[in-house]
Formats: sequence, C-alpha cells, structure tokens
Amino acid sequence: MSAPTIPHLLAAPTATRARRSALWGLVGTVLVAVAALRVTYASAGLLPTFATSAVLDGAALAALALAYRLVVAARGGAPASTPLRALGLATGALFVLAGVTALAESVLGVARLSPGGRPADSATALAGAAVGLAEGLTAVGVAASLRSLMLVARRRAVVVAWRVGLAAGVGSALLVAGRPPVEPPPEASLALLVLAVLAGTGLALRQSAPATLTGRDRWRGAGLAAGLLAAVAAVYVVRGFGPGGPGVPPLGMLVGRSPDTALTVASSVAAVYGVAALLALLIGLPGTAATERRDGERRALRALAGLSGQVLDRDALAAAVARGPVDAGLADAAWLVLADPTSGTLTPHVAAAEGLEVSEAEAVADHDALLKAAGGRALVLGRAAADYRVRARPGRGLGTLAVVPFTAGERTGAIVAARALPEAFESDDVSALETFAGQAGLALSHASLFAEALEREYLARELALARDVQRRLFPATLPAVDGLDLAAAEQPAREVGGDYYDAVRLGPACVGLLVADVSGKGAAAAFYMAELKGIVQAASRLTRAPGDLLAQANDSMGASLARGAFVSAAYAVVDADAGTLTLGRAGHCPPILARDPARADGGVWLLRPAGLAVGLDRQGAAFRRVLGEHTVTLAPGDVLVLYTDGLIEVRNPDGEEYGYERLAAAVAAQRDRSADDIRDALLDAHRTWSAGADASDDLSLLVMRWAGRAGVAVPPPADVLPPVTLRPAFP
Amino acid sequence: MSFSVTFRDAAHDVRIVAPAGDLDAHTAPEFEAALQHAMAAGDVRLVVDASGLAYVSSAGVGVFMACLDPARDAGGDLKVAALSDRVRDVFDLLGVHEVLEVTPTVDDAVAAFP
Repeated sequence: MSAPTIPHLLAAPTATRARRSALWGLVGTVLVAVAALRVTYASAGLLPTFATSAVLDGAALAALALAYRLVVAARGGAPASTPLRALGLATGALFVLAGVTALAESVLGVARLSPGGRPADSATALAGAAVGLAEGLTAVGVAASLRSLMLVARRRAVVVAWRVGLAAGVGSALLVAGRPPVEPPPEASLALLVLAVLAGTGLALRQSAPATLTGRDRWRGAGLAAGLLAAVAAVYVVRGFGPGGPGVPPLGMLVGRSPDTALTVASSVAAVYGVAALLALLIGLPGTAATERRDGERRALRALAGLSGQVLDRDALAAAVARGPVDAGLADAAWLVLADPTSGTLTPHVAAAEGLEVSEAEAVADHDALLKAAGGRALVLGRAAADYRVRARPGRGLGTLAVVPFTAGERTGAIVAARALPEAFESDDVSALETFAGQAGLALSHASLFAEALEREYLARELALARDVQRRLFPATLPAVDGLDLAAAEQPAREVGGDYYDAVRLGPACVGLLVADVSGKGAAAAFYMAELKGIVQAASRLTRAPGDLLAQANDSMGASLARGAFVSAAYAVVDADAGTLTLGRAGHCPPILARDPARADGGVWLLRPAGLAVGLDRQGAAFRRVLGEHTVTLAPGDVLVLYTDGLIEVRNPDGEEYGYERLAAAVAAQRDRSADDIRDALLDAHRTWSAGADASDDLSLLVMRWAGRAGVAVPPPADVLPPVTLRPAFP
Repeated sequence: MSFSVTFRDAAHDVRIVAPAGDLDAHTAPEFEAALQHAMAAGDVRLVVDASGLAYVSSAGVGVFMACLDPARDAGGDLKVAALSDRVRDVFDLLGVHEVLEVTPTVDDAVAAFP
C-alpha cells in the first residue's frame, strides 16, 4: 500500500513557518502568564474573584485552542501519517501526563488544600500550575491525534460530527471557567461533555483507520489501543485517587478548571475510541464506513468485471470505468483520462465522466501536467482548488482530486476522482482507487486487443476471400488448339496480387492471350482483376483485334478505377488457321518473341508496340491515338512469352535486377522445348536469381509455342528485324 | 532508402516539387500528400524535379496520374522534368509521357508553362 503523495502545496512556505513560530510563542506566553498569575494569587493566600478566574480560564482555553489549530495546520490536515502513530502519540501523551501528575503528587506528599480549594502553599501552587499546563497541552495533543484518526475518508456527516464534538468539548470547558476547584461542575457542562462523548462514540464506531491495518500492524494497533485505555485509566486514577485521596480536586484544577475539563473531555473520547479500536482490531469488527466502502468497491469491481463481456463497445466500458469510483462511494465525481500514442493523440483527453459532463471534466484541470506529475503513481491534491494545475475555481465543489494512473497496453491513462471536500481521501481510498484503476487498465487493454484481433481477423478474412476470388479468375485450363502449345504460371507475392493472365478461345483455331498487372494489391486489385476478366470475356467475343479489346477495357475501366490506379496489359491474338499473331500492348512489359536462329530472320526480341496503360487516359482519345499493333507471321518453333514485371525486377543477393536481357536470353535458350518446359525453366531461373528470397512482387507468365500446323505455310524469312509489321490500332 | 519531398519557387508562378529517393507503394502516400497540400494552397502550376528519384513503382506513377487532372482542372498543370534513365524507362513503358509533359530539364518545364 503506497501512501498518497502529498503535493508540494502543503509544504508551508518560510513566511508561514515564521508566523507559526510567533503564534506558538503567543500560546506559551499566555499559558505561562496564566499559570504565573494563579501561583501569585496562591502565594499571597488569595482566591481570585470569579470574574478574574473566568478571564484566566478563558485565556488559557483560547491559548489551547490556538495550539490545537497550530498542531492541525502543521500536519497540513493530511490524513494520519499512520493510525499507529496517532494512537501512539495520544497514548504517550496521556501516560506522560499521568506520570507528571503522580510525580507532582508524590513530591508534595499530601495535597495541601485550604477549605476554599486554595492551594495551601506556593509549592502546591507551583506543582498545580505544572500539572495544569500539562493537562491542557495533553488535551490538545489527544484531540489532534483523535482528529487524524477520526477525520478520515471524510464525508459531510463525519466533518459535522467532529465539529459538534469539538464545539461541545470546548463549551463544556468554557462553562466551568472561573469556578473554584471544589465546586461541582454545572449540569450544562456535564451535558456538553456527554454530547462530545456521544459524537466521539459515533466517530469511533465508524472508524476505519485502524481497521485497515493488516498483519503485524493489527497487533501493534491493538496493543496501542489497549495502551490508550490504560493511559486514560492511569490519568483518572492519579487524578482521583492520588495522594489527595478521593473527593479532593485534582492538582491541575488548582490553576483553572477549563484546561482540566478539556482534558476530561479529550480523555473520555479517547477511552471510547480505544475501546472501539480494540474491538475492531481484535474481533475484526469493521467500522461501518469500512463496510460501506468495501461494499462499494465490490460493487464497482463487479460492475467492471461484468463489463469485460461487453468489450465490443469501448465507449460503454469507458463510461463504466468512470462510474466505478462514484458507485463505490470513493468519489463524488470521476472521469477517465486516456492518452493513446497509437492514434497520435498524445495529449490526454477525457474519455468518459460520471457526475459531470465530459467537457466540464476536460476543463477541470491540466490533465497532461497532472499525469506527468503523477509519473505512474497516485497523485492526491488535498486542496485541489489551490493547485495551479487545477482550473476549477475554489467553491465550485472541488475539494480533493486524486489522479490514479494506469497503463492499458500501449495506452496510458488515469482515473481522476474528485471529492467536494478538501482532504477527503485517506490512503485506503487511494489504494482502492489504485486497485480499481489497475482493473480498468486491464479491461481497456483487453478491449483494445479484442478490437485489434477482430480487425486483423476481418482483414485476413477479406484477403482470403479476395484470394479465393482471384484464384477462380485464373483459367482452370488453357484452350487446346492444334499447332499451339500453351503453358502458364502465376505466383502471388502476398495473399492477393495484382497480376492476372487469361487465355480465351475466340474460335476453333483462334485464342486470345492476356497478361495484365493491376497497380496496387489486396482486395481492390482482385476487384479490378474480376472486372478486367469480365471485359476480356465479353469483348473477345466481339473483336479479334487486340487494340480494339484494349481500348474497350480502357473505356470500361476508366470509370471504375480509383484515382491514380491503372492496369498495364499485353494482349495477343493467335490465329492458328492463318499462322499469325497480333499483339497489342497497353503500357505493359514488352513480350518476348524468339525465333529459330537457324533461320535468316531468327533471334530474340522484345516487342514493344506503343500503348498507354489502361486508366492513364480515361477519355480514351490519346489511348487510341497512341496504340499500335504488331503482327507476326509465325514460323514453326516461334515462342512468345507474356509476363509481368515480377519476372524481370527480381533481384539477386547483390541487388542486381534479373532484367530483360537475361530473360530474353533464357527464352532463346529454351526455345526448342515444350511450353511447359520453357515455363518451368523460366521459373527455375527466377528462383535461382532471387536465391530463395521472398519475392517482393508477384509474377504471372504465359508461354506460347507455335509448332506449326498442317495447311499453314512456313513463311519465308522476313526482310525486317524483328520480323513484325507495325500498324496503328486505330488508323 | 529514405524518401523526402522539398519545394521551391520558380519563375512564371511555378512551384517546383523535388522528391528524392525511391517512390514506391510505401512512399507514394507521402508524395501524394505533399502534392495535394501544394494544390490545396493554390499552387497548381507544378513541376516535379525528378532528378532525385532513383526508382518509381507503379504506385509511384499512380501519384502523378492522380494529381494531373486536379491540377489541370484548377487551371494549372503538372509537368515532370529531369528523369533518370531508369525512371524514364518506367514512364515510357506505361506511356505516361503521352498524357503528361516530360521535359529533359526543370528549366524546360518551367518555360513550357504559358
């Protein structure tokens, strides 16, 4: 259990300290003067008049009241440093008093009192003065100790009860002022004494400070409470049954009855408190306040635990976190402050508030400064209105502020609990808030993790779906046409790539071959791919001109492609009856044509007819103007390879790209083999080049080998190289 | 490879945008944000000084295409100057030079503005 941090504002500035010393001086002067006057009267064998005596008593009582204020102020009104210490102080003071009284009485032997209650001689008067002063100061010490023991976990009722008790005690002491020691006290004074004890009893039964002790401290507390009872008893014994014997007024009364009565009140309340504390500690009888609070805490934690099932709604969770301390009776208002570095909001903001509006909570204090000052530990501002980080003005119902930080995953936050009264939190409240904050942090981080997991799962499912769609887009089989040997491969780099190939039958001896690359990846790429496939399937029934098909794709997709998205494609139409191949290229990697080097027009070329990628010119005028078509009259053994840039941009461990040259050379070297073998050899070369590293780009590959066909003449060597004719697609 | 975008003013009320590094799927959003920011501030006469660009992927080309129409619609234009051989290959292959003006030097591009 960590003690609450007492903020710097409670540390008295030097000026206040000087003022306090001066006031203590005043207290001492008044008390000594009163005692001196009493002794002087006694030495002279005089009894002061009632009025004089009353003034002296009043002055002594006022000085003691001031002393009480000074003691309380020196503690800063903070909750008892520990209940043990307060108990120990009261017990010690009472024992010292009993000792002083007993000593004085034993020195004097027999109290020498005149019939009027006057001390018989100066020695008796002197001893009486000393005991009287000790009684008064002990009353102050006991009252201050009781205050710190009873004025914990302040509620309005507690403060009222304490004030009533204090006023009754002072009143009781005032009513006996001026009366000679032998005269019995007036009934009104006795009635006020009873009222003070009743108020004390109420506070003592509610007492929670010793009840919070644990382990060995519990036994120490019980011992001290028993000691307190013994000390009270000792004081009564030495006062009542001292050398003077029963019926003889206590020595202390010789210098005034008011301080003596004050002690009677204080020690009576202390006795009640001692009994209550002893019972609480030995029998485990909790104070009513403790029971109430435990109930509240249990309720709050249960509410929070119940909410972990509702992690889907993070706002509801935040609201429950803010409600918790208020429900538990730990605060009059509370709010949840969150700083989330992952969302870029480093300044903490109020996520939920209970007992006031979120905007009001936001305005109460500089939460950023408070969180920094707290530095991960609970920070209690006992007099919040005076703190420079608190913006609410005094009198706005803000007495105490507790900032209890927590971490929730990567986020940090705090529960801020506010009480209308100052100094309203005891360390026990703060540790309850800390427990609560820890639970809240856990619940919030679970909610975040759950949301992230959900998001991840959603994305994964979306990608799996897109991948599935994409897989179905690739042709299951390639068209079989006499004289044509086809092979294809696709290899996505990630779950969903942007590559696409297709082979469509345009007639009994005619096929269209397409390889395309959609910019971007993921679900959007799969969508564009599906659209492209639809266009290709539809347009290929209407036209055998590659340029026409690509232009239609540009017209259709221009409307649906996202800004900046485009598709590069190469489309070749092979007419096996005519032995020709026509190629259009829309911004795509140049296809490779390899021809038997034994022929005069043999060799390997990158075919690069002009063409814009689909989607660059969405009006389509420039697309059509630029687009060219290559036509090849096929010779047996001709190989055409359509591919995507993944095949050429792959790098070896030295960072060198595979490139067009190597690909063209590899195609030329494998030209004599079947389309399947050429495809496998190219993929092998690709893998070898990348040395097993994960491909950074996906790749698609379509290989066509023209074996030649009966009835189709072998063309004579072309007179231009590459052996193609070029013409605009839209002349 | 780090990527950066710097701006400078030129004659004819033209703003020069100089990206440096690799313009790929990772850096394209930054480049696009820079261009959009300039256009939002009223700078629609833009020249991209591509001399610092080592590599441009298809996502990078997409940024030029995405910003071209808004610049033209706002009465300005987007021209690209000083392409490295490698980047020019990418532009030529896709046909980018057919839809936006590509010049050998930044001065040529600035002078080409009316």
